[in-house]
Amino acid sequence: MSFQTKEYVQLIEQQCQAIMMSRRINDKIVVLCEGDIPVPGRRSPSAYRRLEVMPDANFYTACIPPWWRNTGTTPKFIPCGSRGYVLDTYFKLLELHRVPNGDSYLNPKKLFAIVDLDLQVQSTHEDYLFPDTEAIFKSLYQGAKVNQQEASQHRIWVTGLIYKEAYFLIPELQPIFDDYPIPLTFNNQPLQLENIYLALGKDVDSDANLGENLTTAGNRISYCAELDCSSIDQLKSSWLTQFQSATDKEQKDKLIYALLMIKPVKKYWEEQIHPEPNPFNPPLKRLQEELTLEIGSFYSKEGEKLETEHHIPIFFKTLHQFV
Amino acid sequence: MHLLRVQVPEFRALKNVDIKFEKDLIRKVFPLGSQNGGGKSTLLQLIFVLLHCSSHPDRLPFLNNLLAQVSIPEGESHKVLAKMDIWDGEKIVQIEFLCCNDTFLEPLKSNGTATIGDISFSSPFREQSIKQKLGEIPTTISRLTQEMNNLKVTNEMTEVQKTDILKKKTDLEDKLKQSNEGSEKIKQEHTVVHSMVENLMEFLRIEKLHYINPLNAEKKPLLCRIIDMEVSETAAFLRKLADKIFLAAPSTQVYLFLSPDNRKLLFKAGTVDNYGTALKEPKTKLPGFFTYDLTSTEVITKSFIVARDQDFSERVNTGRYSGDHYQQVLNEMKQLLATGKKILPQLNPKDNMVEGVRFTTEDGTELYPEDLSHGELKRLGICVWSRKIENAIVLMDEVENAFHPDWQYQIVLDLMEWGPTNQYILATHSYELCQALTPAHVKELEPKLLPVR
Repeated sequence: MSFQTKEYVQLIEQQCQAIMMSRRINDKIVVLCEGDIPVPGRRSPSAYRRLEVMPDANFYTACIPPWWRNTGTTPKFIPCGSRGYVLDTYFKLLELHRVPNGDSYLNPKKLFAIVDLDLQVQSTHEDYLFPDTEAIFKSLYQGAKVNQQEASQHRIWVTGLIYKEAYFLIPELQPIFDDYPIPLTFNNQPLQLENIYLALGKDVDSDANLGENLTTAGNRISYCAELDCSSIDQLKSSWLTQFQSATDKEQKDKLIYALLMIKPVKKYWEEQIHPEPNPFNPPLKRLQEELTLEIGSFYSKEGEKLETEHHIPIFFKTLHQFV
Repeated sequence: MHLLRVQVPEFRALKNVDIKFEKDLIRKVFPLGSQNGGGKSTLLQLIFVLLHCSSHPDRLPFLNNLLAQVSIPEGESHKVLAKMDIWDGEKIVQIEFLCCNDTFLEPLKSNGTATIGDISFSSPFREQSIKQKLGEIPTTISRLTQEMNNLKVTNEMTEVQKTDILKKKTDLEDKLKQSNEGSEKIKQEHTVVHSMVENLMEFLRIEKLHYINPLNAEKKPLLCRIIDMEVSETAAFLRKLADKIFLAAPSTQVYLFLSPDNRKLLFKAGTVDNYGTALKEPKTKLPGFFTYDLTSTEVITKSFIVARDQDFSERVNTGRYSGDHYQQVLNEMKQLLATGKKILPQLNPKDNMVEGVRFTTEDGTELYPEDLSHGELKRLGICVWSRKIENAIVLMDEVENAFHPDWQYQIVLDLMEWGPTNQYILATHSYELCQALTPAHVKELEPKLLPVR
């Protein structure tokens, strides 16, 4: 953990107190996640309506598999700010429960966190099993798949793709976009995910962040022997060559998932996917929020399949062991 | 059908309400929040009664009970009760409901179109009374004539009897004359009033106003205007719309469409049961009205009966009995109950008719009603009820009551699955329920700011 100012420590403590005093988490599985910290006050429709953006936690809640929904034991997702805030809140909560002093509705044995992988490595805590987010990633994932043998020992999960938003662009979602009642476009063309992957691939060398963290990125996708991570230009050219010449779906998907592990995608999701121009279509933000819920619904249904390899349903399957 | 916008200038707790339910939102479920007493239930009932009752004469008493609570400000000729924009599948239909008094007809009196007496919104009612009287006159004349013919003076009668008969005859002749004269007068009056009614209707036709309750003149006249639609089409549209509007609410709700006496039953000690009885009439006469609670069991029982009949029809039509419909209902119900519980039809041992439902564990052990939560019954009831509804506007009050937080969230997903073509407007206090939707879905009746004092 980095140096923390007194104000920062106070803020984290306040946040922990708010979580501990929240009745809705009473003996529930609690998952800390990224996203704007809720304004204190009564949780009412009015308070929800006033939110400027839909909380990130809603996406994860929408992904809860149907078999878990009506049991009264579903996990509660609590947004705690940025990735660093989430981790600091997690460790502070554990610390506050180590020495019984005061009251809490939180059961620390049921406390989890999920954060974005990102390109920058974020350290955790000296007492934790894994020193940083990259070490968690290495343990939790084998190539593009969750290492289910190891999953249950993880209390802090990192996404297997670079950001939560990368999960909005996986190839299996193409039918969702095709069937969406409002026609969607990417760069003014009907939305085809393949075009987004190509755009991402072509932009690899212009991504300074990726260039600076090429070693980390290279280690993540080392399972793709055909990709050359010796330089950013080589990575770009090898990825494009392989992608454009790939003939079978499996090989193509492998390259796509590798790209979604290392290439920041937020601006493509947030800025370049639009509704088809039509005065009756919704504003961009509203469309994205609803689309996020539909994508959540996709992952929720995936959770019903026993053999699913999608990260998010496996995350829930693992969490359910702690009910 | 999709309610796009509702505006209510003033009705009970509602002031300057203007809410839009955007059509571009894909999830057509809209939570509606407010403080307690903020008017959520009032708004749902107002929309429901105006759209469900305005086109059916037998439902007008419910509408009139609601209208009794409307007052037109002194010196005003009318008051806009509500405006609604509705997407009918092809276009936006803008509907306006106005409560009026006779001052509204001043232009008709002053522009020379009507030179006749006291034209009024009650003229159609008056004409109906006159018609009734006119209808009774031939019977009266026939009766009097018959009585006269029966009065005969014979030689055997005494003088006193003869005098008495002649007197009776004179009386009957007078009455007959009066009846004939009265008949003429009534006919003349009818001509005048009929002309008034024609003028009134012509005036309303020109103004594109449909008169909703002309024969209930003792109540407030209610007019409806649909922008860009002729009056002749308005009634047909309202009738179509009435089949596409539904209200579900708790049976302990105060319903503004009940008579004042019936509403009071809810608050009198020892009469709450009578309130349930008072609700039976609207439940029978308003097909779009549903209350949670005990009705749930009735609805579930009916679904078993329908499934049984469908299986029987299949047997008759195809010669094959599969029992698929019955099994499908069983499976659907089982999915909705908590793990380990089953629902079965309760058969009357005498005739094997379905008379209710019973609940068991997986191994067949009978469960007592108290083993089944109120929430479970309610959810089952809503499921069966909403599955029958298509392409409609469904208004639901306090839907989250008796549901634990997971179910409050889930009910949004359930409704979208059970009746995917419907639009739902849910009056609620639940944050959990809202989380299944985006902040843009949530609407609010905001408390009004008061001037600084």
